[in-house]
Order: sequence, then C-alpha cells, then structure tokens
Amino acid sequence: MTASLTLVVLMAVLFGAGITIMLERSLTRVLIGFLLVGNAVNILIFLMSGAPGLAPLLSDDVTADDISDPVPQAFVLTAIVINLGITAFMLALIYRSWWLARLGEKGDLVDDEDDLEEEVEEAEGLIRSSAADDLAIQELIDASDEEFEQSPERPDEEVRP
Amino acid sequence: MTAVLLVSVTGYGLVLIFGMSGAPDLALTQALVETIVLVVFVLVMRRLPKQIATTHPPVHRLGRALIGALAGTVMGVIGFIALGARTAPDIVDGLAERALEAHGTNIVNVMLVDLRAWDTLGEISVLVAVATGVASLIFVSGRTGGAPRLDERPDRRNRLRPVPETASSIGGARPRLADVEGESDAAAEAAATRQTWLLAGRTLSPRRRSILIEVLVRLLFHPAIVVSVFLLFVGHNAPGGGFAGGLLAGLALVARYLAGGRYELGEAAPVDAGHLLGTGLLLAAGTATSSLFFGLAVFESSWFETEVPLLGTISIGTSTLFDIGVYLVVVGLVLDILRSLGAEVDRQQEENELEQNGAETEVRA
Repeated sequence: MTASLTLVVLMAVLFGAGITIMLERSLTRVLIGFLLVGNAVNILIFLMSGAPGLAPLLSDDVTADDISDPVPQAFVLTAIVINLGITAFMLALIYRSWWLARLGEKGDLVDDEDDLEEEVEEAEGLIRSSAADDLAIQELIDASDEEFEQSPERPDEEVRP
Repeated sequence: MTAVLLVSVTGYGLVLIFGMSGAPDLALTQALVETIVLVVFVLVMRRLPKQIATTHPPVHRLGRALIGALAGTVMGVIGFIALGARTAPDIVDGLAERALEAHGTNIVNVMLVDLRAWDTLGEISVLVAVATGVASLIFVSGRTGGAPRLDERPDRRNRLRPVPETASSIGGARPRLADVEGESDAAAEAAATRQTWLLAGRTLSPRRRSILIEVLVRLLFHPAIVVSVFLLFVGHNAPGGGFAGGLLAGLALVARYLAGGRYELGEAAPVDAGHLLGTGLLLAAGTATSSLFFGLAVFESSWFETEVPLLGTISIGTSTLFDIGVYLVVVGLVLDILRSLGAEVDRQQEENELEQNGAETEVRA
C-alpha cells in the first residue's frame, strides 16, 4: 500500500488548524474550523485508497488492477454533499443567533395578529378581574378597619353582658 | 472574509488532488459544492456586522494552538499507521464484476445508487432534515412560502405566506430612471425601450443591475440545466450522477438569484422547495420498496432496455429512478438554502431598513 506522504502531512496540518480555529468562541470561526476538519477527513479517507490509479470507469482496455479504489471515493462523495448541508445549517444558526442577539430582551417573540388580539383580551380580562379584586380587597380592609376601630370597645361589650 | 476565501482555497485544492489521482466524480462534486458553499457564506456574511472578528478577540491562543497541534499529530500518525496496516486484498475486482452486472461502468456511481444504496438513502434523508432545519431557523412566521413571484397580489396572500410585499409586475410601467435616480431622461428612454434579459430584472434598482451578468446568466442558465440532466443520466457510465447533476442545477439557480434578486429566483423555480425535497425522497424510497412487489429484495434492481434510434441502447433501471430522486433532493436542498438564506434574509434586511428609516424620521419630527 503506497500513498503520498505529502498528503498525510497536509491532512495533519489541515486537521490541526481546523481544531485550533474550532476552539474559538465565535460561531463563524467554529464553522470555518469545521470546514477545514471536513476537508482533512475527506483527504484521510481518500488516502486509504492507496496509490492513485486511473479513474474507476470500466472499459475494454481498463482492468480492475489499473483503477484506484472506488470504495473511499463513494464515501467521500457522500461526505462532501453532507458537508454542504451541515455548512448551510450552521450558517442559518449563525444568522439566527445574531438576529436574536440583536433583538435583545425582546427575544424570540413573534408578533402575530392573532396572538396580539389574544394578548389584548387576556390583558383586559386581567385588568377587569384585578379591578374587581381591588374593590373586594378594599371592602375587606374597610370592614376590618371598622372592626379594628370597634375592637377597643369590645371588652366593654363583653363586660356589659 | 479572508478566512472564508482561504478555506475555499483548500477546498479547490482538494478538487485538484481528486482530479489528478483518478477520482473525476469527486473532483466534479467537490468543485460544485465548494462554489455553492462560498456563495452561501457570502450571502450570510453580508448581513452580519463587519467587525464581528474584532468584537470577539481570540482567547487562549497558546492553549488552542497546542491542542490543535496535538490533534493534527495524532491524526497524522493514525493516517500513517492505517496506510501501513492495510493488508486485506482490495475488493475492486469483485466490485468491477458487480458494476457490470448492474449495467454500469462507473463503479463509484453504481456503488452509490445500487450496491450501497441504503447509504445514499440515509444521506438524502439527512439532506431533507437539514433543509427543513435551515428553513425553520430563517422563516420565523411559517415555512410554506416559496420565493416571491412577480405577479403576486397582496390580496392573494394568506397568513401562511411570509411574503407581504408586491413587486412591480412585468407588464406594469417601469419607474423611470429620471424619477428614481435623478439621471438624464435620455437614459431612461433608452432603458424603457430595451428588452430585459431576465424576467425580474426590473424589480432591481437600476444602480444594482449589471447588464453583463444578466446577459451571461440568461445565456448560461438553460444550457446548465440541460447539462445537469445529461450528467444525471450519463452518471451510470461516466463521471456525473444525481449529486453532480443536482448541484449543477442548483448552481444555475444560484446564478439566477445573484443576477436578478429574489423575484428572479421565484420565477426561475416556481415550485416550493419542500415539494421538491418530498418528491425526491418519495421517489428514492419508492423505488427501493417497489422491488418488494415483484418478489425481490429491497433495492434489488431491474432494468428495462430498449433500442432507440440515434441514441443507441438505453437501459433504464430502478437505480436510474433512484438517482432521479437524489437529483431532486439535491436541487431542493439548494433551492431551500437560497430561498431562506438568500431571499428571506433579503426581505428581513429590507424590512429592517424601512423600520430604521421610519424611526429616524420620527426622531427628526
């Protein structure tokens, strides 16, 4: 099994650089590191096909001994496309987190007309009920105040009978 | 931004390595993917603040470099040892026979759509999930709307469509350059009589349009779609296949969007990306299970061969249908990325600018 040592070194360097960048806090740099590591892993898998040969396309004058190993190629092809998908997903995450950070305390609230109406109704209900509560409490307090005022007289009342 | 370009350089370097060491399929796919990644990156980065790198200065430089170097060394040693440790004979010989059995001479593609089709089915499921994730992260108020069409009326809009604005329609009078930009009226007359190269070209501000790009995209779009379909069908015997074809079609859509904005994207692909993804996955899974009805195992292929004048022998198998499913899923993924990270982000930006302008005028008043 022979393969280029240069590619092994290149893979190691890409991997190291990718990990270094991936350890940053900023999501953008994490994504860049992810891309580098992805490329490094692709090279690693591709390296396993051994010495490069002809393209794995069969024809009359190409035998199985001449072509390079197609198995890693099929794997890497899958990995490349998945890489594209994950990159897009990470970018969407970055955009969304930036958007949320910019909104600040308002956060992920989505102003929907129905939601707003519901909220208004709820708030009205709350105000109404709290007003009623206030009245009731006030009455209670008034009543207890009277009792309180009367209470010093109570001993007398108790004494009277 | 420099970092993104440098990462792309490593990607294109990979294209060279693949191309020179006997992997044309990989080189083709990697080149297409790298281009799309670059465009998508720029689409998002233009919206983020420019000083994002300076606001988050790197921390623990030494520690991170150490960990990175260690990881790189470990991987290098692993690669080195793994290369030397491989003693089992290649399975290439067996694969070559199997590929011929499966009516294909491109072993990589035959593996993807026939010999290891379960793998590919799993992969396109991942792609569908990823596309759904991207769309739901970007579309805050519902995800069913496609890119906006030109003739969309405001009254046709319902709550599920997150696209409330109208475009100046094709038939409508175009705002004259003289009114909009304060340029000379002769230029306006000339522009008004000139035919547009792109359907939605008129929705763009005249200052943002480039006749060169519009002409190029107009000339290249349809050939690119034809070539992508060619790649799809030729993939069984030559470099190509569903992935490369789908990516090329996606790249053609990217070009339309970049040249004509989001209305152009809506006109170029008047389908919902979700429908494309669903149809593709259904087709792929359907061909996989259809063989059950004929008493065969899942994914066992059958072929229909016929002689067609001019074209020669055509063999269409269930694996071809499976590849068409892959093609649709990949196109759907790119379309989904474009309509969310491109069109919807555009719309949110414009909305935001409008809000800011409104706030400024209020402050002035």
